[in-house]
Amino acid sequence: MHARLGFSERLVDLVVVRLRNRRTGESTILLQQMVKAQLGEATIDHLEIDSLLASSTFDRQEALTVDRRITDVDRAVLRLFGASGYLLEDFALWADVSEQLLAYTMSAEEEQQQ
Amino acid sequence: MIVSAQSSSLRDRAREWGREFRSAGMLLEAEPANAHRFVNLEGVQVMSTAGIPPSARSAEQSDVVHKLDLRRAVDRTIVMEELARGDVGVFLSAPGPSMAGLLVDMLGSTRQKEDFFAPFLDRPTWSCFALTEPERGSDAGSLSTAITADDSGRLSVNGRKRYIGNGTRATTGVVFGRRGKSPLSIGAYVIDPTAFGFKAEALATMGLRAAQISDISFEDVALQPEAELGAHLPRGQRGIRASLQVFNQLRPGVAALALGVSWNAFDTVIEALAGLQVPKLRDRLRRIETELLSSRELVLRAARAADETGDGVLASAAKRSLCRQAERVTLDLCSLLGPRARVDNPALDKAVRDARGIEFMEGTSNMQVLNVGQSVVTSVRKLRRSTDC
Repeated sequence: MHARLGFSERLVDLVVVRLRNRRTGESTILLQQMVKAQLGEATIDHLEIDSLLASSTFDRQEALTVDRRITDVDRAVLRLFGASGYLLEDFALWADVSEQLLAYTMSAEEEQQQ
Repeated sequence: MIVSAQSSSLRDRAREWGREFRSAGMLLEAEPANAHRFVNLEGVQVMSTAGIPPSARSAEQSDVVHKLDLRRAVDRTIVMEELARGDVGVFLSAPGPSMAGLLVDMLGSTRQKEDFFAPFLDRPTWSCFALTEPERGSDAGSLSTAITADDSGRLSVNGRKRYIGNGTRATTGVVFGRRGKSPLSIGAYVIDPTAFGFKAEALATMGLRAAQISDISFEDVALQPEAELGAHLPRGQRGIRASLQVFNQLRPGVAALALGVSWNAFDTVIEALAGLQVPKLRDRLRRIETELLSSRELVLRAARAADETGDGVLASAAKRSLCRQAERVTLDLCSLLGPRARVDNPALDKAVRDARGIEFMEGTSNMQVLNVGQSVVTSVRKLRRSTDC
């Protein structure tokens, strides 16, 4: 989960760089209020997820809930990339890998318990 | 005779056509260049001529059963939902006039319509709608594709387009380009993708691979002298404004595609659970089914509004709502089968990937939300409640 969270935070960094260079009218897409609000929401989600992971009560039973939450944040950030976030390359490909990471790290026994 | 699209059995028939799409979808996903293999599927045949205006058909051409007039948004959404329930990739890869046809029908002269639609009635013909450019996805007004005329008045097009469906297989279509700096200089032109200088390359996408979403470059591609659509109309009624009208018309259909993808994933999970005693999962499935059925009402309301008033605000709301729902519901359905659902069930994995792709058709969610918000701010029209209908 920490790896997923780290990648999710990196995704925000990448979209900021990308949108800073994309112009719309006299401004950049990064400076649009709606975009800034969505980046703010993603960052707040990251902080909440980080707190959850650091909590002493967090156990693998909660993994699925957190896993889905990170997926939802990643999807929101990917939408900000526009259609390039749907290409099978670079950051979008890694986001898809991250989304499916749990399938490869959870044992059959743990999966049964979910 | 033309089949009445208003018939109450339209959905039942479309669902039958959609069932054929299911197996074809996985095959086409693996080999997207092979769309011609599926041109005999009934649903594909319907779409291959749907949208051709009656005026562009001869009497004998109108006498073919497969010619379904889907120019009404309500009929289109019903068929699109059911075909996407079968497989959205097969739907998007089908030959037909599609978006380009709507624009030609809206702006074209009688001669342009005859020329443009004739091939569709003759053989499976793919079209493309080349508007979006690299780095300018949501800012169509700043497009840079250039239409130029040489000393003899011969028109040609230079530029690059990106994320264009069926770009690699199209043999006709329209391109948007500008002849000057003013936004009013942007126009739509009928193109011949087989002409010298036209080059299309399919992009590797996360899903919707059957659609062959493409990058297209135009290098001195010659245009016919009468290629511009709407040349008989005032400048303000052509170009970007016309493209927005096409988007408004089609947007309820895009919402229907998203709904179809959700149903596709739903059907896949129902099949996976067949014969198993899993009452808790079936309760969750029932809740999802109820949600999808209610969403269908929103799509139909948006389609009715588009037909009756041309209003696109409800369509924006429906598109935003159904796209987001498709992403969420496909993931929820995966969770019913456990963390390995996508790994163990390729059809479900495909639905999850396809669901994300609908977001980028006819305006992203942010654009739809802004559109709805703008209508609230300007109080142009209060959105009707379903009980008002």
